[in-house]
This record gives sequence, structure tokens and C-alpha cells, in this order.
Amino acid sequence: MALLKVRNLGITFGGLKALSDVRITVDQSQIVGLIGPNGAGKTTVFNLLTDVYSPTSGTITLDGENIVGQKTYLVTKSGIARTFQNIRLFKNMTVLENVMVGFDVHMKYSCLKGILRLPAYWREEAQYEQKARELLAVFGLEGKADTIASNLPYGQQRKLEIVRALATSPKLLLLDEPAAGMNDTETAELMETIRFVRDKFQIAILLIEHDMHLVMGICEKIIVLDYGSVIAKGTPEEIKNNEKVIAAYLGKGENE
Amino acid sequence: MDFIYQLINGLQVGSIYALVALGYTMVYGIAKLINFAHGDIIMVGAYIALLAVGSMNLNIWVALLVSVVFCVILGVLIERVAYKPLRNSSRMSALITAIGMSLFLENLFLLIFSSNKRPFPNSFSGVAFSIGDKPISFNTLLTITISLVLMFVLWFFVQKTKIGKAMRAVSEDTAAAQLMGININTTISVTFAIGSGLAAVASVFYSSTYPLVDPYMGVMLGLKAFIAAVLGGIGSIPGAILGGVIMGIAESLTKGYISSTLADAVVFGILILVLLFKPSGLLGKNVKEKV
Amino acid sequence: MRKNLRSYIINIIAVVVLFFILWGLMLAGIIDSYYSGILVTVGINIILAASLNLSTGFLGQLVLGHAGFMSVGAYAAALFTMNMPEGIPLMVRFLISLLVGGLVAAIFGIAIGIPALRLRGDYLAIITLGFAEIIRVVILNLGFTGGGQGLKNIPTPTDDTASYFAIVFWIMVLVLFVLYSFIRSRQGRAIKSIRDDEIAAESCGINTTYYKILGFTVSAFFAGIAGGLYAHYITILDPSNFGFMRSIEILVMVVLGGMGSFTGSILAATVLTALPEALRAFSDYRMLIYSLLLIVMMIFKPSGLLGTYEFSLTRLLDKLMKRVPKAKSKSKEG
Repeated sequence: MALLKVRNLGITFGGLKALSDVRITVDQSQIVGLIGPNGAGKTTVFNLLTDVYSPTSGTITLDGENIVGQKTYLVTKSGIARTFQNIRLFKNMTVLENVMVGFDVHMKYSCLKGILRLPAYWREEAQYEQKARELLAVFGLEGKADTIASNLPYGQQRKLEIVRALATSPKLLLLDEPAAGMNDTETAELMETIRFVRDKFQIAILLIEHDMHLVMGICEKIIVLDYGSVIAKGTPEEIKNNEKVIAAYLGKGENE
Repeated sequence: MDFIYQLINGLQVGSIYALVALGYTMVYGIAKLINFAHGDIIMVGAYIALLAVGSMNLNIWVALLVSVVFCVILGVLIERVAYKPLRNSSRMSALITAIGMSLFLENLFLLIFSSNKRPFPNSFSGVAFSIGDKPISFNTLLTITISLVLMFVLWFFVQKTKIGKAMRAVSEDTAAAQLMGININTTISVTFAIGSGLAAVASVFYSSTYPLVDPYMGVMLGLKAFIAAVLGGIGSIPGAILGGVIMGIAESLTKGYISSTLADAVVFGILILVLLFKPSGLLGKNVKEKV
Repeated sequence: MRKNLRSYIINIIAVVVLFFILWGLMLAGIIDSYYSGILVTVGINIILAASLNLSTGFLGQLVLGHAGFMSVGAYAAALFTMNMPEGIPLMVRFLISLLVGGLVAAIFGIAIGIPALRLRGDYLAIITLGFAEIIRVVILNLGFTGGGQGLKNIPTPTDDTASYFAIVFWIMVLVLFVLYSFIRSRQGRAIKSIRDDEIAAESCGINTTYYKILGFTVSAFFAGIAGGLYAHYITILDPSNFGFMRSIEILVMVVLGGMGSFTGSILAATVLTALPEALRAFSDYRMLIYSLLLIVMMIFKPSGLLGTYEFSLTRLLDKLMKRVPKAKSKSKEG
């Protein structure tokens, strides 16, 4: 069943068509890869999905609900969470606080109750702190809860970003180059993590990645973008043998 | 007739604002910093010119030259000592440093010269011509003419010379410019030097128009010029000139036809309107943060 | 819960002890009325610095017009006390007027914040400066504010400086408690996340516009209360007391103490208020030294002396009593 449906999506930056007629479908609990040469418009797709930019044309529906034109934070509330290509953590806050910000969408106590520290404050804070610690433990970060985020090693920063995104209980998780800057062992571990996340939380994952080994290894479906348009989609096997894709990559000397 | 007279007065003040605004806009374009101390460079320039004319009995043109040289050195020095170490830190740190530098200059001169307002000699006296019964002074004519010449020279410099092109490149994309072999430090120094030099010229004409010099004279003038730069579109050289002229005329007309005490409120009102409706300014480019 | 209760009791005892030491010294005449007056100013400045720290240190928006909010609060509170019927006891009028001052300042905060907070960084700083200047010029030109002559004969609830100090002290404690609780709530966490990365905060489901305006408004509210306390203490208001330099003085306290540390604001406000008063020679060079401190601080320690560190008496006591592991039971590694 389709969770995310993107139809005819297009955006123009100052007369330049960055994306046109993009069509993406992601099913429940599916892992989908979005690949393409540099500058093909992959991150732009993410920015449109989360309404950081507004599309010039097209529709995006999540679970049948139209999300075009919504504010970014409302898109998150309706169920799309993301990570960023250049990690964007809350650098001066602790690891635990970072995750707690993700849980904020579920917390309800009002400003006044927080200031007066009424029971609702203590109850919710304790409840979500517990959940945050559990979630951190899933990723082996439980010992780092009180560390300042910017003091984490690179690989753990990437993990923390995923944890923070998961805290918002998304239906669809967008990962923007999760393996960037990782060595082979770390990448292998990351692949395990991504599969594990999907299985444990039953969510769909759409990921941008240059590491073809990772993409071919875990994606059930791959969508190839070039010059802002979808040039191919299919299973990893189909994509591997697709002539258009080979041409797009070879023609540009892609840095796989 | 009165309207044209006010317009010419506005044009004169406006060209002073434009000269100062150029310093703000060029520094912002290249170093992405609101150089709060820029207004105080004008104050320093005015004191130097005053000392040169008053105490050393130099000719006003020589005094102008002395003031320009002094301010150029000061401007470059400030950048090297206070701003350069902060080039890679947060925008807020850089801005606070600039505010600190501004306060430092004001209070240093306050200690040296006290808060007394000192009269500036009327150096370009005489009436150039009259509009109806209103005289237009030689000073007004000179301010407008020299500003125009300087703007043209600056335009030529930025468009045609090698260092000017380097400045534009750094302003477009610092990292790329560095990769192309442009010396960032030199380019930034040159920018501060030009900005401070223009400020020194502005200080002499400003002091000749409003002939009182005090340690805080640069605050309001600096703010207005900064607003002019924002109005024109910060980072844009033609924008700074346009913004300066508009500000000068708006202020002159407010003083002439509404109320002189409200002129400052009008100026800030313009700033707020611009920021609300067109934050990139009249001639500026809209830049969105990359995600 | 139990640990928190303990921590509350420790802190309340400490505050009460501190109050009675100062109060006792005043009654005994060891702290004379001149120094009590300085302590009143210290208290007001602590409220100003802590509230500015909320918008600049925690929310990360450089505000150059905090004195503008203070002035709005000061005038609103003073006018309220002066125009309420004499029949109501002065102390009651005074306390309500503080709230009125805070609320009026908060309304200004919302009105300025909604448009201004759409702008990023540098522009926000300039626009707050612009608004504060406009407020000053408008107060100068209005009739009922006394204009340039100043607003005179504001009734003071008590002529005794020591008693006024007591009022300021407890209001300050209340304000600090509220600010501290606020920043430790989910709202405060959202505000800190905006400072660190606005785009990431938005993508975590944080309504950044709302929280920015909330933080800005709360900050203005307390500046207004500080203004009300100031008005009823010096009993005469002059628009020139609320210029750009006043805003900068408060900013210096925040920056030096530590952006994101209330402890730092308290320390810096205390030292920077008391020092120029205590050392007359220092006061001539005060602004010169402030400006150098700002520059040196930004170059060598941009986060301020304390950074985001908060002093905790409970933690200190635990350490002294060698109960560190238990106190840190929050982090499960211990």
C-alpha cells in the first residue's frame, strides 16, 4: 500500500528548472533509494517533501493526506522525519536533550504548567526521558546521554540524528547520505541499523546515497534522478542493467 | 522653489550618507559583517581634520588628506586586530566585537577630548548660487560633486581593476575565490581601507555642514548610513548610493515640511518598512540559506 | 520527585539565608543606605540581564533594544500607579503596576517580535535597535509621558531603601525561578534547539516562529517588570535613561557572564553594577573597559565566562558530602 505519493513534482529556481515531473511512490515499510549524479536534485526532493521549499507544481500525499504548502514542523507532525547531508545536531545541547526535542511533538504540557512545575510536567518529562534513553540504548548510545552532542565522534553524530528523527515517530524517514564519511565497516553497520529500524519501528525509509554497495544491498526499490527528472526506477537488479542509468553515470564520471 | 531647495539639501546630506553607506555595504559584501565601528571612523576622521586645521594650521585639503590616511590605517588595523580572529566564528560574536570596537573608539575619544562639542571651521564658505531667495552654499555644491567623482572612481576600480575584480569574487563566494588564488586577507584589507577612506572624506564634508565635532557624532550618522545601505540592498554598491540619496532627501523633506524632532523616527521607520517588506533591499539579491 | 524536593528545600534555605544576612546587615547599619541603593540596582540589573539572556543567550537572537522594553514597562507601571485611585493602598497599586508594566512590555514584544523575528541574525539586531530608538523618540514627543522634561513624582511604596531592597530581592528571586523553570521545560528546550539550529528544530516538529516569539515576549515581559521596579525606585523617568547605551550595558552583562547561563548573568550583573560604584576611579573608564572586555571576550572566549554552565547548590553540597555517584544517578553509567 502506498504511503507516500509524489506526482508531477517540479520546482524552478530563478527560471531554472531544478526538478520537473518527479514521480515517487513509497510503500509502507519499504526501503527506497534515491540516487543520481551530483546536482541531480536529490536533496531538493527532500526539501520539497519536508516543505523547506514550496514546489512550483505537483502534489505530495502522505497516507492520503496532502502535505504541500504546510509548514515544515507540521509535515514532521504528520509523519515525515529527516536527517541532513551535513549533520545538523543541536550542538550545545546534550545527547539526551537532542532526542527530547524530537519527542516534543508528543509532549503536551503547557508553558504555564512547565514554569509552575505542576505534576503534568514531572510526569511527561520522566516518561519521555525514559523513552529517549530506551531509544538511545537501541543505538548503543545510552552511555552518552549526558555528553554534549558536538563532542560525539562523527559516526555517533550520524546515529544521533537518526535517533532524534525517530523520536518524532515518523511513518516515513528520509536519510540524506547517511553513509557519507564512513568507512566500510561503519557502512556495513549502518546497513544493519537501517534494516533494523525498518523492522523494529515498521516505517518506510527513503534514502539518498552515493555508496552503491549500500543502496544495492538494502533498497527494495531504487529511483534514479538526473537533471531533475526521474530517468529510471525499479529493483536493484533492474537499475544495475538499465542503459540510461549507466549512461548518466558514465557520462559524468560519477564518484561512486 | 522651496521644494527644490530642500531637494538639493537632501541631495547633499544624501551624498554624505552614500559615501558612508558604501563602506558598510562593501565590508558587508565581503566580510559578511555589519561594521558597527564604521560610524566612529567618521568621528575619528573629523577629529583628525579638526586637529590638522585648528592646531596645525594646515590647509583644509591637506587636512582632508591627513584624515584619509589616518582613517585608512585605522580601518585596516581594526580589521586585523579585532575582526580577523573572528572570521570563522559565529555572526553574533563578530557583531558583538564590532559593537565593542565602536564603543571603544567613542570612549577613547571621550577620555581624550571630553564630551564638549568642538566647533569645526567653516572651510568651504560662500554662496555658489541661489534658488529664489535661498542660497546654495559652495560647501553643498562641493559635497555633491566630490561624492559623485568618488563614486565614479570606485565604480571604475571595482569593475576594471584586478583587485576590484578580486573583491567582487570574494563577495560572491569566498571559498571559491580562495581556491582561484585570490588573497583573501589582502582583499579584505583593501575593502576596509577604501571604506574608511570614504568615511574620512564624508567626515570632513559632514563637519563642514554641521560644524560641531563630538565623540558620539558618528553614532547617528553611522546608523543612518547603515540604514541607507540596507535600503539599497546591503552588499550592492549602486544600492548604497541610491539608498543614501533617498535617505537624505526623505530626511530633508521631513525636516522641512513635518518636524525636525521626528526626522530620526522617520529614518528608523523607513528601515523597519524595508526590512518587513523587502529585506533584501531595493537592489539587493535574495539569498536563502542552503539546507 | 524526592530528589527534586530536596533540591528545592536546599535552594530555598540558601536564598532565605542570603536575604537575612543582607537584610540584617542593613538593619544593623553595616550596609548603609548608599550601599543598599546599589544592591537595589544590582537586583534590577540581574532581572534585566537574565531576561535578555533568554532571548540572546538561549534563543540566540541578538537584541540591541532591551532598554526599549524596560522603558515601556517603566512608563506603563509609573503611569498606572500615578493614575489609580488614591484609595487603593500604594503597595497594592505598586505590585499591580509591575504586572502592568510587564504586560505592556510583553505586548510590545509580540508586536515587534512578529515582524522582526522573520529576519535573521544581524538584521534582527538592527531592527530591535531601531524599535528601541523609535520608542524613545515617541516617549520624548508624547504629552502624558512628560516628554523631555521627564515623568516626575512617581510615588514610591517605601522611602526606606532597605525595605525597597527587600521587595526587589524577592521579585528577583521569583523572576529567576520562573526563567530557570521555563528554560528547563520543553518550551525552553525548544528555544535552545532554535539557537543551535533553526532548520533542524523545525524539522523536529518545533514551531520555530511560535517559540521565537514566545521567548522574545517572555524576555520583554521581565524587562518591563525591571522597568517598573526602576521607575518606583528613582521616582523620575527620563527617556534618555533608556538609550542605546543602556541596552549595550545589559548586553555586556549577558555576554560576559555567559550566553546561556543565568548564573553568569547574575554574577556579571552584580560585579558590573557594584564595581563602578565602589571604585570611583573605575567609573570614568567604565565604558572603555566594557568595550575592551567585549572584544577580548569574543576573540578568546565567545561563549562568555561561564558559557552555558549553571551553578547548582545541590550539586555542590553533594560533592562536599561525597555523594557524587548518587547525585548523578540520572546518567545511568554511574
